[in-house]
Amino acid sequence: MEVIESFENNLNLKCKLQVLSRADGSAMFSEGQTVVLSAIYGPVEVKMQKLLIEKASVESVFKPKSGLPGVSDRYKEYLIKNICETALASALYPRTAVLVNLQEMQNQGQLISCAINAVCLACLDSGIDMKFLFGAVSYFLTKEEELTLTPPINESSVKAMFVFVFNNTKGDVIASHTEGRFSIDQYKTALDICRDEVKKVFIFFKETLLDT
Amino acid sequence: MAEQYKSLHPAKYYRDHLKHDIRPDGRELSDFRPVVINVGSIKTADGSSIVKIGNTTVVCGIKAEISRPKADAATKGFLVPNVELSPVCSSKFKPGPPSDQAQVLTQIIADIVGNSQCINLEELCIFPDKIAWCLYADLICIDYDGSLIDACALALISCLKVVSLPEVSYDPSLDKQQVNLEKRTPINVNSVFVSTTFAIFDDKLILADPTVEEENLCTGTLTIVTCNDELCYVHKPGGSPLVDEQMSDCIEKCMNRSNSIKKLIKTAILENI
Amino acid sequence: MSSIRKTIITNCEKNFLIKNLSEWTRLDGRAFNEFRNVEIEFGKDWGCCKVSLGKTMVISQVSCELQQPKSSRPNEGVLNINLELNPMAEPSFEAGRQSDLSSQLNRLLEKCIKDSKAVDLESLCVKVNEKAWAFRVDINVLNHEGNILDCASIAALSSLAHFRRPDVTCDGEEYKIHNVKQRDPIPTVIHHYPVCITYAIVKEGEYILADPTLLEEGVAEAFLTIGLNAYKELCGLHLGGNAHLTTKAILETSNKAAKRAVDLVQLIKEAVEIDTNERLTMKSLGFHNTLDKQISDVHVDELGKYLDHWTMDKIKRNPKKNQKVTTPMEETESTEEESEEDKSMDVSQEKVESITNLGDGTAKLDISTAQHEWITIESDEESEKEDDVIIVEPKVETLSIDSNSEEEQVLVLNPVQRSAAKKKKKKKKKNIIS
Repeated sequence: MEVIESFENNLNLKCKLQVLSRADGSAMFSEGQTVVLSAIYGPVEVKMQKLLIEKASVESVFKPKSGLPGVSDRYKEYLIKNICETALASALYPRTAVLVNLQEMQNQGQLISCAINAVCLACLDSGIDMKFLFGAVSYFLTKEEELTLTPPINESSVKAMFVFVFNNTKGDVIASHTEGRFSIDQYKTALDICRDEVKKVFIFFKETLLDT
Repeated sequence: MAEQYKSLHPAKYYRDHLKHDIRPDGRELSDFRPVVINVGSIKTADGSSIVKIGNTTVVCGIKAEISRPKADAATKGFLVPNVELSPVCSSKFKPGPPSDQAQVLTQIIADIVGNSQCINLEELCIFPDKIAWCLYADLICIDYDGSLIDACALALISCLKVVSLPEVSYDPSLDKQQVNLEKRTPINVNSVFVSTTFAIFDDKLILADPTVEEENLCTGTLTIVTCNDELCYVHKPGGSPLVDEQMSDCIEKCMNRSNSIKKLIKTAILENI
Repeated sequence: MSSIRKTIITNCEKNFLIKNLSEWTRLDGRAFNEFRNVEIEFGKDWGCCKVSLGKTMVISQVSCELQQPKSSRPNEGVLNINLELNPMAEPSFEAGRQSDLSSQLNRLLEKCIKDSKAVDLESLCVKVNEKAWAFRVDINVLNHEGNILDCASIAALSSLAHFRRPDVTCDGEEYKIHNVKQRDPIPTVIHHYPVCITYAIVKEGEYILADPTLLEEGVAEAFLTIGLNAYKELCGLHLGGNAHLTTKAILETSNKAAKRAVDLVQLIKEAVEIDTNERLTMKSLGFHNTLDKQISDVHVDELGKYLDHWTMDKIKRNPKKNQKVTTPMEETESTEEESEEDKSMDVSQEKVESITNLGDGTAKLDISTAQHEWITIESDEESEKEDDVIIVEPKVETLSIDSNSEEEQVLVLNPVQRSAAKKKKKKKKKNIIS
């Protein structure tokens, strides 16, 4: 197992805040060549059936670029909703709703991690209270048992993909999603490297906010 | 008395028990509930299984249909899992179109099947671009008492192990197919996946195989799926953060459990073949 | 707090806007016949574009699929246009549900682009009655600041003009779709570009405003949507709402709209041409290039000081210390707990798992030694009478709850082997009581 470590492996993050005028917070975020647009409305008035008396209810919507939303988009919504529920200080906004909206703009393999990072930036942009920041990193295992940060150009050469979401307080894993088969050692190696990489993501968040 | 205490202060009730390293149902923190598997009891399906983990009960039935392969994957058949959470299994669910949770669960099961590559879809193809088998795997939850992913995954894999398909002959020049229902052959299952769910209580304690009560009180869950000696799914959808030691501990427990579950599946299907 | 219901426009806003109009000014300073700026940006994939009209923004993507053509039109492909009103654009929009507005906008778009035969559907047919391309245009609204329809029609046309479908060959029976790398993809034949141009009608036709904003839409009584192509041919006309417009006014507006249509079509054509030429020079194009900020390694070092919360050392803590989060006062207790934990760990290692075959394809997995059961013993007094019941046993814990009440319930934790014996005794006891 060989870990490629070079400067070309840069995450290549880019971001633009406040791209939408209607939303309370919005961010267009790109990771490599994957681009996701996210918008946060909140806290807003809540529908009766979703009202929670002790905290804000989080709703998330993920829209694919083409075709109707399917079961796999439900899964992304569920993942993002759970992460937001953990990270947002929702107890401060009882009887309200926080709407998290995502739109796929361009997909080159890092869609889930890109979407999660976009949500975090949109939350920061909206000024909603959070317990901690969260950042996600995708990692790829090729058929040649090599671990790499950038998605291989040939999609069929990916053996497994990992997405880890960390918090910025202790660097613990908040969420984990995997695709494909891999050994325990590969999982642990990927986890360690991603924990290192996510530092860059958090730095990028801070840089973005300082600039605006 | 304990009943009232439980309904008034559910979290504290659990905390009091967990302080003594015991759970209200008598299990220790890392204990699993007993598992029962039954295979082949639904004769109308091409393969079936019933799985009970504690009280959680899932029935799986696989129905094979002949269909046309997709234009961009002409040599592949289909395996379509579908999880149904009916009002029977819990008052939480309402009749009507599948709830969000059922859709998410369907996607998770489909991901596990895809990741593990337990079935080679090309073996399900009868004639390229013309006909292929489509296996509809319906997973119906009868009783919902936590760790549903585990139950569904176990039901599906044990069901796949006993599926048998009738022989089909196809004549491409006449575009005619002939099904011989008498002669059935089982399908190849390359690997066995075993899923194990853990719940994180109060940000630090890890409960194996949680019941629905525990799931509701917990601050997060973690599902690990093993496939032979590898992992094929590590699913943690938000919730309390985990440190690495806890994660490795869970993976280890999961590996141990997968061995006993594999033996269990073998024992169950022994008579069926 | 913003609302998830549709925002109601107050009388003050309404009156203010109309007052302004009476002085021939609009709130954003535009003239009555002035339109907002159009920006077209293309994504990495063929047929993907983001269009903004002022602050209104939509993304459009064309996708294609080989299908059997409709039996009524065996020599034609299919074109479907689907406009989605996302909650991202406005929280009152519901995801995945058809509202009156969305079905109306979809119909207008269809009428303008599909029914005017802008796309040559016959060229999409691969083999008569067997295979034809089905095109699908998905338009997602990202930001709603008024006049979604115009923005969507520009987006639909630009993405259709930009889209290229993969080449397909047929050797008798089998159809082979060629990868973009194997063969150059084919552009779509578009006969003409019909764009929608919307006017808001305020105060019974007194004021006709081009390209209305959200507020103007709220105040307007009716809308006049005109579908026009670059040859000044009418492709659709829709007057919705309740306004009395004279034919003369409609004709005048259409003439003004025709000028706009010529400009818009030229803009779309130019944008598509520039992007296609750049693609030929093998430039990496896409939305990711238009986002300007990028992290550089120099900044990584420089900004290290901002990472005040990030402590890698804490993660690699000693696992034992991790469990022991105690103050000195509690230390003795915690060590006890730890030793207990250790014991329980030992027990768990001794656990025997048994798999029993119950016949008929049923098997059961039991973890035998680990099973504990709660047993309820009626009260202390009675158990004292029964000499053979032992309550205090090694490795048995007692939890008493609410000792003030008379009828005391004691929960005793017993290993399973004993529980059977005890249950019997309990039954006996009950018999005595009865």
